[in-house]
Amino acid sequence: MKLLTHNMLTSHVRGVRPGGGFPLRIQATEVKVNNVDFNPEFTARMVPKVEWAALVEAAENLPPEPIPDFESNEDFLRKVHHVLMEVREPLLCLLTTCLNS
Amino acid sequence: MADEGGQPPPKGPCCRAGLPARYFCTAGRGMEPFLLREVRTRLDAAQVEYVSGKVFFTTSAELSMLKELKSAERLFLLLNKYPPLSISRNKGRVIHDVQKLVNETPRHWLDMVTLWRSLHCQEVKEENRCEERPDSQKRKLEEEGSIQNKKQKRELISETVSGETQIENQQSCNASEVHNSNSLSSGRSFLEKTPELTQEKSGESSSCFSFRVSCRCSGALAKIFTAQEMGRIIATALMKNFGWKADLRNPDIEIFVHLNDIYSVIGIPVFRLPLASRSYIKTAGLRSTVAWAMASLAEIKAGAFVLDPTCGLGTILLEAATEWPNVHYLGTDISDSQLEGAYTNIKAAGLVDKIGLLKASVTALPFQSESIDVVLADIPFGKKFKITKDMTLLPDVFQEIERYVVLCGGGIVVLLLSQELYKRLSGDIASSLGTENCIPASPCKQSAMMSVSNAKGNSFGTTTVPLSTQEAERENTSDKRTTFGSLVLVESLEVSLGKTGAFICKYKKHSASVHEAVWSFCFEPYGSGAAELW
Repeated sequence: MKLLTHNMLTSHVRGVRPGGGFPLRIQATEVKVNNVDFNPEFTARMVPKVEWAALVEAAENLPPEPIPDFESNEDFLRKVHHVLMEVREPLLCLLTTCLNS
Repeated sequence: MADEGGQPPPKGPCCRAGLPARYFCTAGRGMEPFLLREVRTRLDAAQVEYVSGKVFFTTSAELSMLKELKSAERLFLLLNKYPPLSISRNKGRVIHDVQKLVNETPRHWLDMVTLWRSLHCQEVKEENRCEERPDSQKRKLEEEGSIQNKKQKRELISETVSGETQIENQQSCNASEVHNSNSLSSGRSFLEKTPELTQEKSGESSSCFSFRVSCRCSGALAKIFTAQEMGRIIATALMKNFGWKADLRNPDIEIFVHLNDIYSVIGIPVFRLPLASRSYIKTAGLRSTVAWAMASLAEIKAGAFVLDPTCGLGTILLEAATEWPNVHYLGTDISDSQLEGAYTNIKAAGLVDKIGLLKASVTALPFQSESIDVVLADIPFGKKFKITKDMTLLPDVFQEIERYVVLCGGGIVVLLLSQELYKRLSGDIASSLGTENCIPASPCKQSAMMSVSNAKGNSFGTTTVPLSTQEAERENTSDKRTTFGSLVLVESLEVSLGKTGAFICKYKKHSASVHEAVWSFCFEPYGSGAAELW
């Protein structure tokens, strides 16, 4: 699963404290990388939409906050594109780690 | 019929092609408002008129643009449109009138056929553009080759049969060659192996070619003649006038005739395959035209998150992702086999990067609250689900959709509801207003009424309910109106799904403060697309 999709997911298990179902923990036993065409416009739109903290937790090699003027910084956008669109971890891990409280 | 002529001539970048031509499209019932809007915006069409099931327009747009029409079934070059035939008891008189459709304007017929042919060449050239063959003779051969390929697609089963028909037609080659040409898969290999066949064929087709008449009769005329009889009369007249050869199986040109009490229309199909059968959809679930129509209402913007929580084979997502590419699409379904089918489809369409799939229940989706911009859903009904089951499920579905759709920026929800579901939902609203007998005359008025009912009912739910609280609420809820909550019906349009009918319903999530905006929306030209028709 793409980390972009992962970023939107939360747990629905009963008893999880409000907001506690996010983000789902990833057990990255088998990370795959697929090549996806770089689309700077799309990636720039994604930056303010995603939960950045959760993305940093999932991906590690990102700055703690989006850099200023990220729309025009291709290096940064390429890094985000790689993390959001190209890195994939198996769905199985998500299903087995739904509690993160 | 609403004539909307007198509009300014077409302008804009899409009409470089040159001479304007008059076309018509056939459309599923209820799709006319979408098609009217589409020909105007996509083709910059002028003199747009419609009758039930058909939209007529004039455009000089290129064929590649015409091929982009998504809400139409088939596209025809309009040959002629007459008032209905006068019906008399005297069969001979009717026959004479029908023959006159051909006899009276032979010049016009030939002109239109020439125009069709130039369009046809254009189509073939566009297909071959990437192959870069400067030699004109070879190009011509390729055209023939790709025509063969198209025929092949349509008539996979009768491959050998059509091969035989060709022999009769052309009397110019031996059987093995023809069969060979039909079973080849690419135009290039076709031309390499059987050049003599195509040469003779193209030579021949300039003087005389084969045709078939596809006739549809309805209304009073159908009581006197069958469509076959009518077709035969017209075909005979064409043979007499122009010396064309009839060929039912594999004709060069098809003449489409539709005669009823309102009009007589004659046209020539521009493409062999219907526009509605998409090259990018391997296995269709929902009708592609309806799926596109739903997506077209959703105001999808670049960078949006779009979800189909009941995606099935993914038809809606495929239609949306093809038209609006810079968007993150997600499909969820509870069925493994449907998800597998959807994945096969998405892979075949080359859209794996754009569309993600998840297995999840429509009543408990693992998405954060207010994380989705647009929801597109064909709410299941029909074969698998009984109406009673749907109804118990629906409040949960609505509540869940309401939770994860964004409020800020106006989340849009477009649902396809069966007639029964739609009536029940409208009934709930009507009874809450105390106006059960008030059946709205037009979708426009209806949406206004829906908004009012929600305003009076004060049923705007809070949208940031924490999960645990929300689940508790869900269990306690018994009031049917809460199924709408902050989702307000903006527009509803009835469309045909073949044997059954359904309603495309567009909802907008909003708080009480933006209520006015939605109210006025109903009277804007875009929102009242349906009002043009009814």
